[in-house]
Amino acid sequence: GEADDWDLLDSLDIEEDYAYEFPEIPPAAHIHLGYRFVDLEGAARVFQYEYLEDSLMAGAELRMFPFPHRFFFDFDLANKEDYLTDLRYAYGDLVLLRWLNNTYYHNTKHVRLHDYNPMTPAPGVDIRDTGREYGVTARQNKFSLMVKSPRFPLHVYFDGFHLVKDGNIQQRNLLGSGYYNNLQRVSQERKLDNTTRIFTVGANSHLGFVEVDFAHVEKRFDVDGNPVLEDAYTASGYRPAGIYKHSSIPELEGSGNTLRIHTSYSGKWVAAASFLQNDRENNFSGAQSDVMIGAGSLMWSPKPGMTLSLRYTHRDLDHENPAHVTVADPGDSAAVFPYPAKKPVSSKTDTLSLTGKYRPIKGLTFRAKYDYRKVDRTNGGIWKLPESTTRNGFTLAADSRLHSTVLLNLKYVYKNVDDPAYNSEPEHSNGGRFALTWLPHPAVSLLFSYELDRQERDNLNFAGSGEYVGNDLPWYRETDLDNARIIGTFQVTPKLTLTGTYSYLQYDVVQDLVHENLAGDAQVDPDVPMEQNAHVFTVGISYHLSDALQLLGEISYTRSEAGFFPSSEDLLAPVSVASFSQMEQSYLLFHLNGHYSFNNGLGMELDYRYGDLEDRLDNIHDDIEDGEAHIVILSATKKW
Amino acid sequence: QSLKSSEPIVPLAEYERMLVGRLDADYVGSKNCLAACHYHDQIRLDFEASTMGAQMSADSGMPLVDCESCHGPGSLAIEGLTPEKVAADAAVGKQTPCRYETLIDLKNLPAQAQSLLCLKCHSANATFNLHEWNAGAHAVADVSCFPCHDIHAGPDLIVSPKETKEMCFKCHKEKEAEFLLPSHHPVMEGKSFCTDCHQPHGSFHDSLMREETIRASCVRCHGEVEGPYVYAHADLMNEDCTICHANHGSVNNNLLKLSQPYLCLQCHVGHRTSANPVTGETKGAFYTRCTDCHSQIHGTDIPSASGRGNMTQ
Repeated sequence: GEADDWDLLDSLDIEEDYAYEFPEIPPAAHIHLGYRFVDLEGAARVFQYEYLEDSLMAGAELRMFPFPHRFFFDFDLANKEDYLTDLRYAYGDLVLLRWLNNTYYHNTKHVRLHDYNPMTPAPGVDIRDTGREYGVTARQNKFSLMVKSPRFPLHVYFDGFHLVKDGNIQQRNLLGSGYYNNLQRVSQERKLDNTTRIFTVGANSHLGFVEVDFAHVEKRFDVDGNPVLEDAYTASGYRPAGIYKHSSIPELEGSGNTLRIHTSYSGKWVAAASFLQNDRENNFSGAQSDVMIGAGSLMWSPKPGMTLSLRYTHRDLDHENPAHVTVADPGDSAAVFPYPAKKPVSSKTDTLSLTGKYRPIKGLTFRAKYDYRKVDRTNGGIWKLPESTTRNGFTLAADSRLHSTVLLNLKYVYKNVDDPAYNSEPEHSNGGRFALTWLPHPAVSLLFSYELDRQERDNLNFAGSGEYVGNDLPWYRETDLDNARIIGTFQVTPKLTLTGTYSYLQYDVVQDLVHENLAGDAQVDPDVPMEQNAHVFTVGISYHLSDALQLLGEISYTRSEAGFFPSSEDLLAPVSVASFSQMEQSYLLFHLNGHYSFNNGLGMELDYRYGDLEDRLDNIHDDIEDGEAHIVILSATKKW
Repeated sequence: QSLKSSEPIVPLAEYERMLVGRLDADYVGSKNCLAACHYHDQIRLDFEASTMGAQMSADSGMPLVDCESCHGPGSLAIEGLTPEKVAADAAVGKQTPCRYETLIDLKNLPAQAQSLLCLKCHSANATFNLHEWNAGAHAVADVSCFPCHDIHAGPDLIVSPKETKEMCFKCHKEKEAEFLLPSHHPVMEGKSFCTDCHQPHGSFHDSLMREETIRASCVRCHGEVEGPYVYAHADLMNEDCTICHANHGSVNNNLLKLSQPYLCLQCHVGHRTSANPVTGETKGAFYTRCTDCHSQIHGTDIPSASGRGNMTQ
């Protein structure tokens, strides 16, 4: 009991023996100040997450430990759209506070639209944003506060997540009538100003031999930019010409509760359970979703080197829609059109996994895992989805240290799916991984690994409007995934390290595709291949010339290509459907960094980065644009 | 009830025995270890400034922690050493060796024992995110706390998000290559972090996801596509974003696994292909990027012109 514990401490005379004095620890700090020069030619996507303007840059770090206070502050400013702040404060171990701000800029895409057949009136294009470049600033703040009681182990915490995405993006959408007789594809600018707020309040403690944690979460998603757009539509067979809303981004609100329980009271047995309830409401339409999750895990370690664990999760997802939605022209009070809403798909999902690990001798470990997942859908038939999908998976793995310098990893995975809901999911798949790590010399490390997955599907199910769509046709799909990599690290001298990597990623699909002719009849294009691969090379050099001077160089080069090859003549003219998936691009990044430290805490740093993104096919129908940029940063550092 | 009587998370007797240290050694206290040997000065300073340093005082009300809490009793290691000998050796530039082999051989312990060293204090109540450690992927794969947490690295034991990339890529090399593909989350740039989505300390969920599903992890930041919508994309609200998206990186824009229109044609019947002299429609209309027209592909609350949820409006 509690009294016994404190009596024991008193009897040990801990206070007297530990006449502890917290040491005087001087604060440590550093600041840096510099300038960042940017030279850009072409598309800013070459540095997708850099704000490509010249800028002052600065940073500071401060650590102070005046017992019982601990304070840490780190600030990095690259430019007005890119900075990171990490602030931590602790009072002993009783109050822990952290604020993390992470702000960065994203150069978002601008896809160029083309009129594929100017000889026909529709489809046309309406370009309203010629020459416009787009970007969004993401400002993410995380705040956490934990307060611990000094004696009874009770913790109370508050977590805050605040994310603002602010900027402009390209909005592509369909105008004209919005139906077959008059189609206009539009490209226009859209203002984005979205805010996500997630607040969590919780507490955890011991309750006898179990630990319990309860948390309540509130989430809000607000849209202050353009929550919905309005445009003029021409008349269709369904409604007259008018101004109608489109492309809404709905505001959301929701809340949830989580209860987690854990115990390891009996020693070799460890058990945990969690219960989660979460709801969301769409404030634009009133659509609602509720999710309930119950999960439990049990681990048994009968002896050292052997572990068995069981996990079970039940998820109940319930969606509700309003019966009707209304479309109205704000300029015409008579133009109000109610449409029935389809019933949404709700589901119940049961997931079970059983994992075993056994180490018969030192240096050899076997692992086995069985996964089961069953999804039961309500209203699935309305959406041409199976009422139920069952997945089974088996994994066998072995890790063996064949020699003190050689490590071998092997893995085999088999999956079986009954009634998969989407064609990209296989009915059967066999996958595996082979990895060999070899340390032939204390200064050399080599790794070769290869992963593959072979997937098959015998009964594709296409979502479409025609009567021919169904499960009866023996349409076929085969997918090959291959990833290989070679990594070598060489410590040439104690001061010079070289690292080289090569990775190959391949995603090949062969499947039957289906399209309609004008009569609505199914036209099957059999065995259409889609091939996509990427080669990634990296070389890194780290040279520690002296305690004062360090050099770092990195190069990465990625070359990727993709394309698919239909044979049906309907799909090849006037513009081949394959044009939009045909791609070949290269992406070169070069980074050089040098840092020189003077004796008095002063330092100088030069950082240079070069990026080159090239559309090697110059295909106007892909969404890749050439870009080239240099970024040079010159900065001075002072440490105390 | 206090933390001093809390149950450790994995009280496996065999692993616990490995952490006892030499039974013929006595505890001598940190003052006879760190303070006597200046070789450890920086470690001492960092350690004392850390949370655990504060626990070297009984005033903290927390379990007492010092060098021997992890390294085991140290009397044999310093046997025969005196402050005078240490000072004399230091005067001639020599580091006085101690018999460190009599301490617990931490580096060569099984991963479970290494983790237990930390977990025996950082039980679930002290660090609640360790609830799922034992059934988590890292523990099952024999990864201990040590590869990520170096308690001698400095006073700050919290891993900075800036450091997580290098930590994770030490083992997850294939992910590093994915983040070098043209479309990627900005992990290589140090602007988003592996730990934004993954909980390395263990999770109920596959791939150590923080949230209950991959989709729940995605919509934490991508609220603009969370829904629910009146016209949802089939039951993708129930499924994962990874049906269409490669979550780490891809050769295609928007992290798409395959480029459009092939991506969509895998599941959807292509539109009518022949030219219609009455309406003027042509096949060119229908073979573009599908999202040029179906702009609300994740879901919408506004019906299309035909009244169906075609995600064009």
